[in-house]
Amino acid sequence: MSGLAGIPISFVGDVNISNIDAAHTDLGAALRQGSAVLVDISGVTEVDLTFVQLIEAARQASNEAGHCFELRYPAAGAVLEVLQRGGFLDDEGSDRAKFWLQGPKQ
Amino acid sequence: MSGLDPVETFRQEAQELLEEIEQGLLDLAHRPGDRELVDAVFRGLHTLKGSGAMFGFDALAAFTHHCETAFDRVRKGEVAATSELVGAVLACQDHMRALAEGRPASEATGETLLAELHRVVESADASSVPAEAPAAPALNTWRVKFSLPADALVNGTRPLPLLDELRELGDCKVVAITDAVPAFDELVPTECHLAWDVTLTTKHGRDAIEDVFIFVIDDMTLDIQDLTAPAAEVADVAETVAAKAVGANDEAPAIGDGRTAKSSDTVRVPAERLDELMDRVGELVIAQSRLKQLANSSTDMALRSVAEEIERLASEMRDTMMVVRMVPIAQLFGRFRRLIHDLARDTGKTIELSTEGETTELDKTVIERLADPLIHLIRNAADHGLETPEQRLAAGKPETGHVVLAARQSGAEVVITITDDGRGVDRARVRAKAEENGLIQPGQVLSDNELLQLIFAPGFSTAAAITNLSGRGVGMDVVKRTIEGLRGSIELTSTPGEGSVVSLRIPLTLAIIDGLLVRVGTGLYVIPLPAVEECVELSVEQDIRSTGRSLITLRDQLVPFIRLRQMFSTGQAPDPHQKIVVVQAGQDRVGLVVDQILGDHQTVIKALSGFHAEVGAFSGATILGDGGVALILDIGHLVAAGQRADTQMRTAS
Repeated sequence: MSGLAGIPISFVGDVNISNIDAAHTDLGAALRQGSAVLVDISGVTEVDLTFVQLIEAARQASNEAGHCFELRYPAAGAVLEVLQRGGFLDDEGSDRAKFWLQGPKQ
Repeated sequence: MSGLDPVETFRQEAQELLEEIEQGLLDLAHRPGDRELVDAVFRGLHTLKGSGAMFGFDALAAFTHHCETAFDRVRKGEVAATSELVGAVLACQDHMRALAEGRPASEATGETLLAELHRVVESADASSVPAEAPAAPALNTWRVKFSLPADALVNGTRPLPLLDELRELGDCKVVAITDAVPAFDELVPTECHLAWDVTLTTKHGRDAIEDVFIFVIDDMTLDIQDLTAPAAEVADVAETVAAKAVGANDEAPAIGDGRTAKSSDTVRVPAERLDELMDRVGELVIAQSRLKQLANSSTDMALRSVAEEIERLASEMRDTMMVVRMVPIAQLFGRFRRLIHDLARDTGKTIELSTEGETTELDKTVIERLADPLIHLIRNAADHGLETPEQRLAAGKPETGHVVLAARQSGAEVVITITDDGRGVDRARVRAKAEENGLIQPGQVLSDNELLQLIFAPGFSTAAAITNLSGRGVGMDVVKRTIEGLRGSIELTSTPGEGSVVSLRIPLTLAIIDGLLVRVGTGLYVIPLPAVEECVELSVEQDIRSTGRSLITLRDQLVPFIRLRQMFSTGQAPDPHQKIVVVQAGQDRVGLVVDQILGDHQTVIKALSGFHAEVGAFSGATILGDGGVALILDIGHLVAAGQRADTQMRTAS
C-alpha cells in the first residue's frame, strides 16, 4: 500500500470557529465517498480546538467504518502547538498521538 | 433613537460594576475572610478592566489592572484584606469612577493612589498573612477533570489558556478526552465536546485550582480530587466533589436558563424613552377625556360604550406607566454605606448604618434628586448628632452610634426617615444661634417645633467648628428647598440625649399632580393643589384700597399678593369678583389674584421646552380636556417674587 492513496483533502490558512462549518462540510463530503481519506494540513496557519475536534471526530468515524484516515504530513507549527497545549499528545503511545505525529503509514 | 452609544452602554455597565465592587469592599471590611466577597470584587475589577480596554478606556483599564493585581494577592491568600487595604482600594475605585465617567482625573492622582495601594499591600503582606494559610506548603497531587458547556467556544471561552494556567501552578499532565464528541455527521463543529483530565502536582491548594476556572465555573463541570490525601479523606473529598459536580451538572442548565430568562425578563431602557412613553400616555389620557366629552353629548350608544372602554384602558395604562418608572429605594440606600464608612474614618466615631424598607419604590427621577439631600442629612446625623465613643460611654450608651435609614409607603407618599441615637438637638444652642443671626428676636416665645424648624433657615449652622463634612451652614436650607422642589416636606423631631429623627415625605411621582385650575384674563393656569392654603374673594373696595400696596390682612396677618393679571400683562379689565388664592411655600405665604377659580384638575405635567427654560414663573404645562393648554405656576418662584416685591414696597414707603 503506497500510503498516499485515498481521497485527498487539504486545509489551508486559518481554520477556526468562524469557518469550521465549511471545513465540516468539505470533510464530510470526502468521508462519504467511502474510501480512504488523506488530509493535508501543511498549509494551515492558525487553528483552534474546533479544528482538532473536527479531525478527531472524522478519524473516529473512519475507524468505525474501517476506512483509512491519515495525515499527509505530521502536524507541525500552529497545529502542533494547539495539540500540545490541549493535551492531545501527552500519551505518546496512543493512536491519537501516532495519528497526529507520524503522518501516513508506510 | 436606534442603537445606543456603545461608550454610554459601557459607562452604565461600569457604573454597575463599580457599585458592585464598592458593596463587596464594604462587606469585606466586616468579613475580611470571606472568599466569595474577595472573588466577587476581583471578578468585578477584572470585568471592568476587560470591557474598559474593549471600549477604548485605556487609562481606566491600565489603572484597574494595578488594583486587580493588588487584589489578586488577596485572592491568593498572600495578603489579608485589612481595613486599610479596603480603604485604599475604595479610594482607587473613586478614581476609576472618574475615569469611566470621563471626568478630569489627573495621572498624578492615579499614581499617588497606586503608590498608597502598593504600600498598603506590602505592609499587609508583612503584618498578617491569614493564619489558615499553611506554614510550609507541601506538594500535593490533584486530579482535575473538567468539561465546558457546548456553547463555551461560541461564547468566547478559550480552554487553552485555562490549561496553560494550570500548567503554571506546577507539574502538569494534560490529557484531552474526546469520548463525548458526537459522531461526525451529528457534530456541530462550533460546539465544544472536549473534556480534560489533568494530573497536577503543585504546592497550591484547591482554591488556586478553582481560581483558574473562576470566570467559567458557573457553567462548567469541574471535579477536583486530592490524590495525596489519606484514603478516607479521598473518599470524603471525592464525595463532596461528586456532590458538587452533580450539583454543578444539575445547576448548569438551570443557571443557563436563569440567565436567558433574566436577559429576556429585564430590558434596559433609557429613562428618556420612558419619559416619551409617559408623554404619550399623558396625551392619550387627554384625548380620552375629549372623547368622553363628545360621547357624553352624543346619543350613539356604541360610541359611548367604546368611550368607556377607552377610559378604562387609558387609566390602567397610566397606572402601569407609573409603576414602570418606579425603582426600589435600595438603589439609593446602597450608596450611603460608603458614606458612613468614610464618615466613621474621618470623625473617629464608630458608626453603624442599618436600612429598612429598601424595597419601597419611588419614581426614578425622584430617587436621583433625593441623593444629595440625604447625603447632607446623614452627614449631619453622623457629624452633629452622634457623639464620640468616649462621650457615648460616659452617657451610658453603647460605643457604636446607630444611624437608621428607613423608607415606607404611606398612601401616595413615601416617608423616608433618618434616625440617629446621638445627643439630640441642643435647643439652647439653636436659640442662641438664631438670635445671633437675627432669625428671631431675643427672648421670643417659640414652640419646640418652631425652634427646631429654625435649623432649616438659610444661613443657620450650630457647629462650633466647621468641619469638612458639614457645618458650612448651607446644608439644611438647601435640603429643605430640594425636598420642597420634589413637592415633599421635611420634619425634624428630637429628644435631648436620645437622638433625632428627620422625616421626609415625598410624593410617589412627579408626573401627575392634583392642581387647581384658574383663569387669568383669557388664559388658564394650574396651581399645584398641595400648595394652596385657602381662597378668598378680593372685593372691589379692597382692590382699590390696596392699589400700590398689595397686601391684605388675613386673620391679623399681612399677606402680600400678586396680581397675576398685571404680571402676565393680559391687558384686560379685571373680573368684578376677583379671587385671591393664598399659597404657601415653606414659611412664606403669598396671595395670587386670579379672575376665576374653575376647580380641581388631574394634571399630567409636561415639561416646557428648553426654549422656555428662562421663564421662571412656570414649572411646566398641561393639556386640558378640550385640547387647550394651561401653564403650571411655579409656586416657589412666585412666592419669592411676592416677598421681594413686598420688601421693596416696605423700604420704599
